[in-house]
Amino acid sequence: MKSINKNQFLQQIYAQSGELPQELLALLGQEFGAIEHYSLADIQLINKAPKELKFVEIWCVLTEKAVLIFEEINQHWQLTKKLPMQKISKIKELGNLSYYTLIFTTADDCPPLATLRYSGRQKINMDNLKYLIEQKIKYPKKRQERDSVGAKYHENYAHHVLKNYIDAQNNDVGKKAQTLWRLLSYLKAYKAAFIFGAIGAILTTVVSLAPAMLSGYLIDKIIGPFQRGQLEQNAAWKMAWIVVASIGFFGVTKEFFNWIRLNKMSIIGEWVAKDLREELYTHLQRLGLDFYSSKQTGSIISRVSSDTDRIWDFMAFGVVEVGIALVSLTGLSTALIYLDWRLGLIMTIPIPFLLYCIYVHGETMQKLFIKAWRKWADLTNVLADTIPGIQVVKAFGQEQRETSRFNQSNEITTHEFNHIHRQWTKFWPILMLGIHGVLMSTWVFAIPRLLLPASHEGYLSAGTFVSFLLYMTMFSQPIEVIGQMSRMLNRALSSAYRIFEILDTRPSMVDSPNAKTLTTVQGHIEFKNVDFSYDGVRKILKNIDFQVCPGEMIGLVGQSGGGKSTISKLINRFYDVDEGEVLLDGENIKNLERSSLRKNIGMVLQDPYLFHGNILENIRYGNPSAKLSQVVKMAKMANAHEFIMKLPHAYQTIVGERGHTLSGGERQRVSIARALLSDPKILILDEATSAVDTETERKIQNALDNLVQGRTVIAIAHRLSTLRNANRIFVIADGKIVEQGTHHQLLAKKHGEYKKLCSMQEELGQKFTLK
Amino acid sequence: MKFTKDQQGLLSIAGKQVSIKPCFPWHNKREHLSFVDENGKEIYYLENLTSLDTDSKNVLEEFLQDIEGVISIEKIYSINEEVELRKFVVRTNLGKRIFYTKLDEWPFLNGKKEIIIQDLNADIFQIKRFGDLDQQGQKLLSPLVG
Repeated sequence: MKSINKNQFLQQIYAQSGELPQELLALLGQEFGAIEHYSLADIQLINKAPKELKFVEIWCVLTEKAVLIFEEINQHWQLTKKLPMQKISKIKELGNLSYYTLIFTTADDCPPLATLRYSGRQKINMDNLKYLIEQKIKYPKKRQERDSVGAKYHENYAHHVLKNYIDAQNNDVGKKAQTLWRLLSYLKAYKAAFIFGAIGAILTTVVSLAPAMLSGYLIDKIIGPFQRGQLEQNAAWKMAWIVVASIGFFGVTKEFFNWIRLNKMSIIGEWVAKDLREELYTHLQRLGLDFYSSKQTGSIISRVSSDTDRIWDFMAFGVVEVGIALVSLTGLSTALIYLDWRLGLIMTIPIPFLLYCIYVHGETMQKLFIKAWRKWADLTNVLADTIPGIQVVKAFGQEQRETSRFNQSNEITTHEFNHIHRQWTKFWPILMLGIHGVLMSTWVFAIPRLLLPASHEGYLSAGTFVSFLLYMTMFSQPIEVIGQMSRMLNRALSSAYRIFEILDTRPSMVDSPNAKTLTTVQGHIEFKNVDFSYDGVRKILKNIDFQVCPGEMIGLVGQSGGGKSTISKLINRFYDVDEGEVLLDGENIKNLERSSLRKNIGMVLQDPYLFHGNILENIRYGNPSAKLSQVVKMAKMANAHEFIMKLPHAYQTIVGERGHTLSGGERQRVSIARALLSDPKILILDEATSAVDTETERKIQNALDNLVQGRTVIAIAHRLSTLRNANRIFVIADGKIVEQGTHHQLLAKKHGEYKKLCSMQEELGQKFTLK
Repeated sequence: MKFTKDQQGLLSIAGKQVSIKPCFPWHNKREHLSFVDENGKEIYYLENLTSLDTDSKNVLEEFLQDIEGVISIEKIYSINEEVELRKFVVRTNLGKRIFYTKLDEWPFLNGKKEIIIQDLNADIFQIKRFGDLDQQGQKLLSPLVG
């Protein structure tokens, strides 16, 4: 979406507008204040009984003072409803299978002020609109208290309607030529080898034309004259052997050039795929967490693996095969017309028709393949379901049922693929029959001319005809390649789009040109009036303001979704704040190199991630050159040494994918050892002990007590007991710090939030204690 | 239990506004109904309508019609594959519509005849019977449902 704006793009893909019409904007005037947001209601009730709906464009505009509803009547926009904010008491959304209804109500005993209907395509915007209106109802006067979209509203509408489309696809669709050109530009680095390969391909084609021509020459100029007594035996022998040797020479030369072509192109294809993989992976490392949260892991992995493999196939064979086929067909047609234009035309005129037949066949096959792939997907889904869940299958004694399910799916899939085989095995013999038909026509037209006296105008020599016959055998392959060109190209372009989509995704955050490298860190953290939202509408943090001194331990507590983890993500600069600043040792973290910032921040998460490899490699992940003695020391501090030594190969035991051979508590202690070894000045503990049993929690807690010494620590916890050593505790609710102080200070507050949380946990503890 | 329609035209149980949520939206939408308040909390569960008095039944019928409304496809103009997506251009009972599904997400059969297509935005499109489509529509759709 670089060359067209989002509004044009929306129009192009959904045939709907992404902006308020100009005529409608003119109706708005100053009376209602500035626009804050808008959305489209694309469904309207036109008849109640029988119920009748239709797709329409009704714009719902939220301004400072009112909600305005505009409809197009007789091709002119009209303000059909204005709902002053003070009149709206509630806004309610109802959903059914195909659309949603938004009802604006005033007093309970009055009919609704307005009702809007809309499809799922408009839902995000309508949800945002609803949320903003609710904010206005909740905080009618305190503007600073409520969330607002402000000047971004016009970007937000189109962005949210396009979101699912863009997430599923990419920005570059519709520019095939550009994408192809961009793909081919990767060959530049291998220009010399590519030229070699291309010359090899052209020469293979040109040289392959020679033997047929020479065969004709042999018959017309040597065998014929010799048989008619016009050429002496010695001369005939000599000439014939020269021609035969030449045919042999051209055969060898052709294969030599073919070898150059295959060798160069397949190797270039591999290099291009390698370059793409490298560029892609390097770029992936630069992208922010927002990118990873919007894409499925499998989809990203397949772009680096199977899509680059498809590109290799296209580069290695597709580019040149198509080129060769075009050169061959042009060369063959030229040679045939040159030899005899009348027979040449008989041979070349049916070519477009044959290509068309192959194209139609390709289209039919594609439909059949879609069907077969669906069945294949069903089959693999059965496997993907049952193999990982085999324990459940066995526990419920469902082996027989699952076997039947698999067999049934297997049988359906086999039928579909056999259908495909029946189709293509029928088509190709028919096509070859067509080619033979052309061949027969050539015979039919050639024989009368072959039997004419040599002096006659229409005479056709036997040699020319033999050349013809030999050329005809070379016809089918290029026709087949050209017929399948579109599918081959589409497959390659599809992969190229997927790869370029990632390469074109700009990291949402980049280091400023003058970004400073952090060398020594004291660990002083300050949040200055920080506002943050993930979607540009709902604020997760509101005016957060606090300071943490070096070496201080801060506990963050509060209900889920309150914004605790967001605070830790902002310290790491996984996201940038919307308003305010996050400072580290007095420096705005936006002015720091992200890599150096993150090297100084250690994280221990609820579900620690271990890489496939051994324990030693995992502990050393943040500090690969650490001495073995240090590794053991840190493992001991993390209470991990003891269990590691019980493993068969101690520190060199392979932990498996994601560390699945270890228990949750063991993985956590390895991750604490890893954090200790990288020795960060700032440490974030995000629910580090929430997923383990009491005994393991005790061990982890002891390890954490070692870990926090001499560091600035931000600890997020639900179990308040884990924050007993915190210097201060912040209670976060609804994006704000609602209380702060030491454990005792907060407990002393009679109706305080912290006290409530503590009481609730105590009650739960008592309720579930075995008596 | 008494169902009424309040002044705002919304469904109420004992003076409390509720929304209907069928437990099995693809099967019988008139059975196993959950009635939730504005916070999404279930306040009543109804297995079927037989136990209701006539007034309540009539009120409920009206609201059930609302939740049963599904967009029906009447004609398929084209189905084309784009990168990662399948584009449908169709005429529905509400008018012409362009929508997209992911390439590996297929229409599915609800019961024996009804075909359901869910698009990228979770909008539901229904085809009552494959045979109701014209020849072109059947030809376009058959690779996706056969």
